[in-house]
Amino acid sequence: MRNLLCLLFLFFYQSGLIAQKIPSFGKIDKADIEYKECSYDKSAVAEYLIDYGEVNYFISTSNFVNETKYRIRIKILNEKGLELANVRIPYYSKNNRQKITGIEGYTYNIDEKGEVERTKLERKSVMEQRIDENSDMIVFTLPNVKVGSVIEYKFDHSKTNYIEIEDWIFQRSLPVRYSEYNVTIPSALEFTYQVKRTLPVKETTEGINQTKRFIMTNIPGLDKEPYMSCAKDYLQRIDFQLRAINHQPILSTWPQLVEELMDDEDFGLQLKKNILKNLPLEDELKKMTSDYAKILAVFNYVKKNIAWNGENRKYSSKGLKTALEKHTGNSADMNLLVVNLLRDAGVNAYPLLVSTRDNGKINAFYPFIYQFNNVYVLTEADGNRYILDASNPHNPAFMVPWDVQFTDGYLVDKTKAGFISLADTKHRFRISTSMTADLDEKGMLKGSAYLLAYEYAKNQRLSSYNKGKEKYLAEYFSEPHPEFKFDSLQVKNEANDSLPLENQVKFNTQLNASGDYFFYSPNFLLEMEKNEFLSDQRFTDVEFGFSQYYTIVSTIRFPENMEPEELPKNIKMIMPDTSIVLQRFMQKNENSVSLRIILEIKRPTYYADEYADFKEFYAQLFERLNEQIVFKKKAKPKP
Amino acid sequence: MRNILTVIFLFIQQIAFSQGLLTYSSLTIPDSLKKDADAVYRLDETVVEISSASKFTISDHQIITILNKDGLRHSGVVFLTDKLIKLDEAEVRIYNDLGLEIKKYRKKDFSVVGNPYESSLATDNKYYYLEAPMPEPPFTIEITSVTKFYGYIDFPDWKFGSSSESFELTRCKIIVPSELDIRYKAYNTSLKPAVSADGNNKVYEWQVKNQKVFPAESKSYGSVLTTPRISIAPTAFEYDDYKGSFITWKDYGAWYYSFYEEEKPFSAEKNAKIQALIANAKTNREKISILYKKMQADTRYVSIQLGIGGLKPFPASFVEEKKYGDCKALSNYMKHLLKAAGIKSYAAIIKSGKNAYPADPSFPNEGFDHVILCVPNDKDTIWLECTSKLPEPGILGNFTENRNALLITENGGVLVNTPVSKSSDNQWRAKTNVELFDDGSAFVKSRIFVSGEFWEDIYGYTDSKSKDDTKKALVNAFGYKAPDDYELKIVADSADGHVIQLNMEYRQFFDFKAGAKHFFPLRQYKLNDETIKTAETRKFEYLFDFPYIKSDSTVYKLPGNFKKENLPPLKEIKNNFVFYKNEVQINETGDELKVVTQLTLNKHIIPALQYNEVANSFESIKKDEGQKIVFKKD
Repeated sequence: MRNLLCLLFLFFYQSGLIAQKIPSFGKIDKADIEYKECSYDKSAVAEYLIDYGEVNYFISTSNFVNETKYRIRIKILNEKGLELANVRIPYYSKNNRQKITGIEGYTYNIDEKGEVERTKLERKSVMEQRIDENSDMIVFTLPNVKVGSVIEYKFDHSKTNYIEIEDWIFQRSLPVRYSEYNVTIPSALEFTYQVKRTLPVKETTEGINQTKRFIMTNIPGLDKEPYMSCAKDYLQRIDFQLRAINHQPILSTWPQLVEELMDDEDFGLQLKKNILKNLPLEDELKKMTSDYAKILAVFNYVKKNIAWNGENRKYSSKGLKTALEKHTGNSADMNLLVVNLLRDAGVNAYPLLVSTRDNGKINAFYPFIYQFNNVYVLTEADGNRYILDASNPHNPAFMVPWDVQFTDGYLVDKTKAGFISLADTKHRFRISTSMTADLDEKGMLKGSAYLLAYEYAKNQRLSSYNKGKEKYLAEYFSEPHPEFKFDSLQVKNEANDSLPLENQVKFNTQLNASGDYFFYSPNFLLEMEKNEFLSDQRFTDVEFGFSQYYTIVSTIRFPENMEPEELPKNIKMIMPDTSIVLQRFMQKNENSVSLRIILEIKRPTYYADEYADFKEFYAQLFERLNEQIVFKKKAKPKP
Repeated sequence: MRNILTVIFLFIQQIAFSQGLLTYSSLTIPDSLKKDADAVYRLDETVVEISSASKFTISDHQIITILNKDGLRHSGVVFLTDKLIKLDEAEVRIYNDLGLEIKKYRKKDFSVVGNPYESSLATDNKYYYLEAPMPEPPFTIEITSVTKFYGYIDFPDWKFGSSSESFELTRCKIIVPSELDIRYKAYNTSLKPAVSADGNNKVYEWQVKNQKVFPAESKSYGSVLTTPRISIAPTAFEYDDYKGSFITWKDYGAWYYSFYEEEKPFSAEKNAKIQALIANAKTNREKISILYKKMQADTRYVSIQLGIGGLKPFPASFVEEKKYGDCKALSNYMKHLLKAAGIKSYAAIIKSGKNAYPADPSFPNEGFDHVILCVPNDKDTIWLECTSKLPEPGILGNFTENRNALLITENGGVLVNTPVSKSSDNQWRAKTNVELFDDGSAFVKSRIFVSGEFWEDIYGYTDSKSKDDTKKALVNAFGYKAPDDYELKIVADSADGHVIQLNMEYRQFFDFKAGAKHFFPLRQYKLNDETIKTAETRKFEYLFDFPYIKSDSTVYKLPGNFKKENLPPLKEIKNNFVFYKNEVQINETGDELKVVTQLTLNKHIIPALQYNEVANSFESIKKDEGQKIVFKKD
């Protein structure tokens, strides 16, 4: 929170600056070339000094053009920022629908005499590169750029017969000193917009054209963070949405949308195709009495008979029958087929539009299907609700797929349509390990481990296991524990959804030693080797996507010539909100040490503003997990 | 899957089992070919038809059975074309595991893309690629294509073995006008071609059956030394209207020479500026250093591969005006800066990359991808890498050291060796004071001298990164125990290296405690980060990234109530490759403890015979560095 305050302060301090005009294109204040670091984001490799966009519409009788003028000025603070002088502007070029024109650029430096030196981007240095049959890309690199230079360029992006206004994202991965978006909308068009922000934005309406002007200043960069879901959800931004043309509302409603979808050849109409009748599956289903059994049968049938082509789509590609004939299809083909077959088998099933966590949250105010990036299945049996994704080979029917955990889906149905909160708190990421080992007189430890991975833990492991047992052994055993040699790995229940993934493995290692001391770390095969929360700051929420439960039970038998030192203490460590609990019990027996560790992380999400406590707890947690058991060689009795 | 099988089985009974089906079915592959294979080439056939010194056609035919998910990389069908390479025909067919065709694609089904977001800003390249769903393995893919080349310098090698694919039948046929002919050399095989005449043409044919998968060794030169292959080279060629002959290295260099010659690269004003810059320099070495640093400061690397296959540099005047260029343009610019200062230098074409294998002197062939500059300076040749802002003049680094390069001289090409990596070029020397407090917390103050590759690491991981990111790098890349707070500053830069001041604060410096006994690490990071492990067999050299000299001396100031319980004994390892010594001493009053460690890797290329000796050394070093210092707290 301290950072936010700091920014607020800066904002007010500099608010006088906003009222002033930004320097015109081609003119620069010498101080902007001379300064060395970004005051509100000190390690930035470059700072956007001006990030400007201006939207205008030009309407004629035959067509209309949406033209956006862009202007960007960047200070290069470090060699790693030099790449920003290589500019790539991709655009849709098919049938001349879009054009990039009016490209100009300058580089500003201080010359040997201490004067501002301006180098112009030559027209002939601007090149056109083909991306594919639909799009081209303008590329250029600015001349005479070195660390300390300021570069500036502008261009107009015009789009013929294009109504939508591009959303404006104030925040970038690098800091932005001044970001402005000006939008002039002809009276025939009406837009709604939403500003998503935590930083202050200045919003005005000016001139006879009622130009909307949005300004935000001193926006720090947003980088990737471990366990963050979708950057888009956190970026400072404005989203625009067309509402009416000539006072005719075009912004639809969710029920309207459902209606359209149900009449769509690649969506609703596919659900009515008669497919089950000719399949051997029909007889199998007839013999089944429980709806859940039917769900499993249909789900498995689709998974086995259609190979997912790797595409996540909301619409069927060439119809469900074609997908079944060709044995290949996109996610919509597979999931709509599940709905189709289940309905014909008399089970309640609906298409469920979803936005996976990496696609970002849905804004329910805007009834637009593009917000979703996939379609899953919602089905019901015995009063329980199941969320299925047939394109996900490892997720069993009874668990909400991990990629949509804690998001909102939209159930598509003429009567039951509505938002559905997807949250599976019954199933966890759960690992349970037991190991026994013998320590010999030379410090060699040999033993075997038995590890059960349940639910979401099994889910994750299966995607590794299916690439091959060798890779699985490396990823989950040898690489996390490089000091150990593992062999005789046996894995069971990989195909049985209702049982945990069972792993049996033998191992040996020479314990780390120092003189007469030998060390053993009980943090073994728990997938908790490394603390990923080292950063002192956090901008986005920590989203695990499940609650977690880990246990390990170990017994280490030691030889007669050794004796354990005082063992790590029995502890119970609890997060203030009780959402994380670590318990450890250690016990010395006559010739063995036994221990039990239980770690429970009950919340799937920790919010960015709780991060300080969370990080502190995690640091302590890992300190405890890594406390070692020390064995000492007994002094030899004197002869 | 059972359902599909039954359906298809019924279908099969009605058609005779043809030879074709056998070739396309995954069920007919012998186990010996499936062992360790991700994919099996049922057929890999290449026909190269050379019609003149500027034109040839490649007709490819491959039938590949993909056995598992890793084998899917063979299903990505991509053809590269540019101004001189045209794709004439392409067809792809997919067969299921019984060998029945399930899908067919023609050239029109391919997408054509340029190269957006690649490392190059602009190129002439275009890629044809097939965006097609692939079934679950096993399945078979058949690819046929005809590509025409309107200008060439070299031909693709013919390889017929791999550590992840086996080959049932593989064939290569070269048809060439007799008066033109080709040169060839076999590597890692004694295979000889069948040579015949066909009218005016000479025909070479190589064929291999049932080539099994052979194992790969980690951190070796890899396929260069293991894969059986035939290298094929022209005798004369023509590329974008530039004619050349290619029998000797000298020929090839002579062809190249004109690209790097400019009569009047700079204006009189620029020439005067160059003279002024070096006016006070006494030796050539000083002049080279001044101009090189000026070039590093003024210009930046931007990859633009247009024009003659990316072989001819932009002129020096272009770089002078725009202050950017690729490796060719920047080397050419530097060459002409030196020329203006009266110093002669040569462009040197080279194969780049960490531990890349040298070109074969006895078989002149194009195989280079980078240009550096070589400045003969009496007996003391100075090499310059012109695309990086980091190195000191004369230090190339592992991107281009330990191999050969072709100097482009007025007398043609001359193959010379680049410098051998020296351990003294890569140094890490740390001196640390640790003040320990009786609650186990500590202040750690380190002064670290780094040079060469270590500087590149430090620079890459820490420069202009946020404090958080640098901390992550310290922990993850350099193996530091995560500090509770720290400060990192670069305090001095010199021609020899850089000095870093790293101060850290730890709430708990010991690793753990058992009762009153506190177990401390030798230092707050690991000096050794090698992962080499002993192996039962080793056939080829093991390649470390580079040789180095590391040392660390850490002095602990102990609180009065910490009494030493256990100190690790002296350890020393010495052989031709590795030197390691670790010594822990405590002073008489028992309040100051000193840990002095040295680790030197003299040479970074380890012959197979010595592999286990070196691996053993590093295993013991790892154990030794994992030792703890034990204090008992009163």
